[in-house]
Amino acid sequence: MVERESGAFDASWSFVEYVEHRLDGLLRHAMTLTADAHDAQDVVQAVLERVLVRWEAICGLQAPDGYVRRMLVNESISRHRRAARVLLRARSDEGDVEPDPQSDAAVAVTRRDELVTGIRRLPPRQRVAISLRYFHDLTDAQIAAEMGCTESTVRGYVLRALRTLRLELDQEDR
Amino acid sequence: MTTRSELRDAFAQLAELAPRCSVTDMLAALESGPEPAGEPALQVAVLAPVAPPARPRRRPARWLAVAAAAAVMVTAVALISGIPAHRGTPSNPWPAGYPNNATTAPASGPGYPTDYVYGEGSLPKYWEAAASLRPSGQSVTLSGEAYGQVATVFVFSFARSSNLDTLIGALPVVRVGSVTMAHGVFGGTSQTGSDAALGAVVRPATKTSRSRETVFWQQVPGRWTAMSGELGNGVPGTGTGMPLAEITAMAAQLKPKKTAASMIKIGYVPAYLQLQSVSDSTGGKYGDIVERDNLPGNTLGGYGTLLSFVDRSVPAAQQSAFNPTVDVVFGYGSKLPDLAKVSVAQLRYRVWPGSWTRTQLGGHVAWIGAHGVLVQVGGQLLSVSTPGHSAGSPPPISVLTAMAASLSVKTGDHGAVLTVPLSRAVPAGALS
Repeated sequence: MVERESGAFDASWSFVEYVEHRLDGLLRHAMTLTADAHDAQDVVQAVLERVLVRWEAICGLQAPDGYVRRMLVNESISRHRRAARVLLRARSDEGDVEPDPQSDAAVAVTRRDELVTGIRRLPPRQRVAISLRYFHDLTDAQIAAEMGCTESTVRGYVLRALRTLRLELDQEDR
Repeated sequence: MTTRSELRDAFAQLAELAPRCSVTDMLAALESGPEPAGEPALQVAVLAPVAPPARPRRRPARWLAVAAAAAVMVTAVALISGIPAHRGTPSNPWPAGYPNNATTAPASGPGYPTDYVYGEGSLPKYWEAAASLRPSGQSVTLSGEAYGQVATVFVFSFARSSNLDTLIGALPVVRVGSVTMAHGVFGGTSQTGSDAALGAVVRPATKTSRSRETVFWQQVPGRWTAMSGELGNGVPGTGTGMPLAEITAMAAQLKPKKTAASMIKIGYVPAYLQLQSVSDSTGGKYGDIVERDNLPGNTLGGYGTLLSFVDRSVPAAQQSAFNPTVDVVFGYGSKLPDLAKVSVAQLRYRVWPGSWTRTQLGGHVAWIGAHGVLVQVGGQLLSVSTPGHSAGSPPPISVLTAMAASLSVKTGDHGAVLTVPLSRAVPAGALS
């Protein structure tokens, strides 16, 4: 488990207190789901708008944090579906430029960057699935519950995501 | 091969890039509601920093609440007591119906002005050559033709004009037609006749050799606009002053334009940095990113925008070495130098000393130097640097890289670069 809220949810919190305690965690969570800082902030804002409207009901839930996390997942997927945003091609037509082989830092940065870039390119459902699996350490059943699909669908998302990432990294290595 | 640990590290890196948003800012955003629908597509240059940025210091929400309450009180007191207009000039010198009667421009508060009062389209037959926005106000330079010469018009909008009330009050008042207004002359205008005037003390500088007659008027309480003009070859500061009657006629035609805007959006600015100015160059050459003469093509053109930041943690009397500037040049395709083809030797001509590493950020060609980051994204050349640093005191490159990674550009049809309201172009904390 890597990302969990610090401190238990307190049902006596006001909405503002909830935001004070949870905002950083929500933004980080949204960032791993969307892989884009602007989207992450928009997703959190959209979710908090809905949380604010239903604050009393959410306070009465057994696991409000989990409920809001699920809202984040849904929003990050549905937002992508309707968004008009277009990511620039990560590999543009500027030609291949190899990092300076004498710079270990550059190689390490490039390697990590390739993986992050690959994650950004994934379809949102696949990205969300591997984020919840490999960063948030959720089981397939938990991921299925968060994404509102079946476990086998989750496994399909993860498999396809990993296959895509391997292919892309292999291409980069060649 | 992708391992579990590699994936975890990659997601950890992404998490570190999560936007920094204070509780106050988020609550304010919730209060103001979502951004208006129907905005054009936003093309985001997704880059990845070399290292995660240092976590900015959070501003205590309580302190902000107190500051906000104090600001409200100050504003209320000012409204109740009335901001004194200068002698002989009514608070709104323009009769109803005049375009200058800019009631849409709000009086600027203690923060950054977020309305961009004049710009392209402000004056018939004139086009915007340069514009600059900073906490003290806005300056815009317009170019056109008059009396068979190149006419250069300077418009200044002072967001903080408490000293102007006194200074302008000491100037002679003239009556032009049915409009009563004060006029005077700027002192301390710079070569470009723009930026320095905003920071300089305005006084009746009758002894200035290159004096220009300037028309002042009060747009709204607390905000003054000044306008002057030159006739000559188009090089600001070298022409002769435009006749007062001509300036007055132009002032009557001047139209407010739009909200303050930037051609780029930056998502991450450390809390200790404050936006100092936004400058746009909309024509001619803008070759400050790389050494033009040594680059393939040597035809750098197009237009660009420059965001300057200052380190607010350093007292104003001292000069911080870490004052990053964000440069973006929007080129016309092949006219921009290709960073994939430039050599280290060519980059060394730049003011950034030290070594360079050519790499890729977010799949884009990038050069990371000791003092800045250069990235080429399609038709845009992005640069985040701190020109004030010397070779012996390298800046925190990870911060610069993180800022570069958070840049995005909004484009419309045919790749045209669109502006973003300043209130959304930079984090709110950078404006206050």
